[in-house]
Amino acid sequence: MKGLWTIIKKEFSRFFRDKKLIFTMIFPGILIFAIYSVMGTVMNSFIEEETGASFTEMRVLTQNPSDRLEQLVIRNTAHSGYEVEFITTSASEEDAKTQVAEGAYEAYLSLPADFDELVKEDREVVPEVKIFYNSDNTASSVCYSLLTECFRQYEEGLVNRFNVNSGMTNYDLAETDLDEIMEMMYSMLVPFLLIMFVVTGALSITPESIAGEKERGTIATILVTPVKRGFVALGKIISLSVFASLGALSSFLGTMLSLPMLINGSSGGVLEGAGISFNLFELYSVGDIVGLLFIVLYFVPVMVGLLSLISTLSKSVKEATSASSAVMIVSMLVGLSSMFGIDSLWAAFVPILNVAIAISSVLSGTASIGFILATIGMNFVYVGLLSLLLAKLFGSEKIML
Amino acid sequence: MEEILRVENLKKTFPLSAKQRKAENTKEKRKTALAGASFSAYRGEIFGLLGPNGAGKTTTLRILSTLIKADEGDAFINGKSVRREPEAVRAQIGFLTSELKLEAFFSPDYLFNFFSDLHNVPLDVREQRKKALFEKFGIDKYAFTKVGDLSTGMKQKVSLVISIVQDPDIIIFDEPTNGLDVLTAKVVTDFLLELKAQGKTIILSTHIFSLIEKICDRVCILIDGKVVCESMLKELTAEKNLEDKFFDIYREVKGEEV
Repeated sequence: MKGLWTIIKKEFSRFFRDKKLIFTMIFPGILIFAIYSVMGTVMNSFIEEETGASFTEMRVLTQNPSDRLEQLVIRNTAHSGYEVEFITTSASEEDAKTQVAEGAYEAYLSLPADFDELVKEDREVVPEVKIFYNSDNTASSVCYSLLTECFRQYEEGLVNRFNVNSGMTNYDLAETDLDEIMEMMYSMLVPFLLIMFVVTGALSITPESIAGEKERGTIATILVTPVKRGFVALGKIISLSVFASLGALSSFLGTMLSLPMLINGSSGGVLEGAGISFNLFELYSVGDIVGLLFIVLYFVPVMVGLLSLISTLSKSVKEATSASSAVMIVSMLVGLSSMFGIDSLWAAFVPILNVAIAISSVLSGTASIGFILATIGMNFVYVGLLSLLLAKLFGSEKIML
Repeated sequence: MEEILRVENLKKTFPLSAKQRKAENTKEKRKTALAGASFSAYRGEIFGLLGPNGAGKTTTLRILSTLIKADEGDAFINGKSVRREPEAVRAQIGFLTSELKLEAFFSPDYLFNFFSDLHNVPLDVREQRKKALFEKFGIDKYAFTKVGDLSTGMKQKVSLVISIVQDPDIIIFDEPTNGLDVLTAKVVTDFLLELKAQGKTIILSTHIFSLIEKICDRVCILIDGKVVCESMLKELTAEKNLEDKFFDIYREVKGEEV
């Protein structure tokens, strides 16, 4: 066992003394965080700049207020996250239109005086309602749609024979809360991203560590020492798994911390306004996070083992990297499969697919403990088989020399 | 004399690729590197394997170092079988060949410690040996310089020192002075003699007659994978010098002029 520990120590020394390698592992997470955060902020500020206000708050300039319309607007926006403020003005129509065009207000509503009274009477000439808005401005367009829908309801209400869901109550009895939207989004995106990070992390170090040592002749120098060749193989898998885990963790943190900003930013802040939580620890329990961590930790050695196998069979780093890239593409495609909702137990026996489904089920809150345990167990078996195979290959002169 | 190495009927073939078959103008799918080689070496001697290129010298040493396995036959080092007890054999030998490289990223000091750990050398012994060997070969000034930044000669000295970290009884050197400048080559040959004086057994392969004549006690001539002569150097060169004697044997075995 001392030989195994010596090999691991040497791999750690190689890794932690090489700034370039550390940078390669840690940098992707920082880069992802920076890119997603900047993109989210830029998109949010772009939308805010365009609308002149926060997307969730809309201001309507009104010439003659209508109490009935305002009630309808309040009822229709009660559960949407939008807030509409009516501002009475005595400005001329031209001035009001200019203010809307310039983005100071989302819309200008022109109503005849005593509109609510006028519409109650039968008239040959019906009152004229004018809503000015700016279709270049997203918030203004949303505001226009909202107002026209409220006027439609208003008009229907005038020939009222019965009311349908006219109160402030939330009539939708579905238990789906707003957080579930975010959980669903994470459960579809994160398995693919996590698998991609693990594969790219392993790919960036494994070919160099194994095929590179073979190519340079440095592995042969270790093979003529008394250490068991199985220990050399195992030492490589253990240390490479630790480094790949660091890389995956860095990318995972970078993504999980910045993805909410990107998603919220691209919605112009509407999701946040609607009260959807982006905080990981609010959405998921500590048990969920720990479960996720275990799934990933047992997946990293599988991927490292697989890429180590390819690297051992390759004659050069170039050959190993090319062959490993094919594995990366397949893994990413399998990662996408979590979006199709496969939940059969047989999937726990399929490497990579089992991890994608397990991660997805934890994030969507539909995890089955049996499936998770089967996934972890099978990955444990795969790591064992890959280690045995690698130990065998490390003893083969045809492969190693 | 105590027999420390016994080689029994070693046979080894290698597959030939289509390209190699074309280059060697043969239809054979395998090339014979060793065709039943047997010889012995004794404690405290320098034993030279002499032969032309392709005679099987390097293959023999790679089998003795357990880097590759023989197709048939076996070899015993201090009674341990290279076939059945490779780890025990590796613990007793130091092996140096140009095909074994050191990681350029690490310093001689780190590598000495690393290989000492793999050989289970105690810490205090390791430090004493490192100091003595580094001083002897002038490595102490470069102990913490990355191997990749050292000169070729210095790299070879480091490789030599690393190959004997555990102070082995048997040292196997494949072409020990190949590619070395004259100064480094002299340091190496002097060191081999010093090791012999310490009672170590040295097995070396070379095609340099002068090196054999200068340092070897016994010699084994390999031609086409077979041992064609195993003798004390003094007896072999009693009438003729080693070079002339070698070509006499070569003509006798091959039936052709060189």
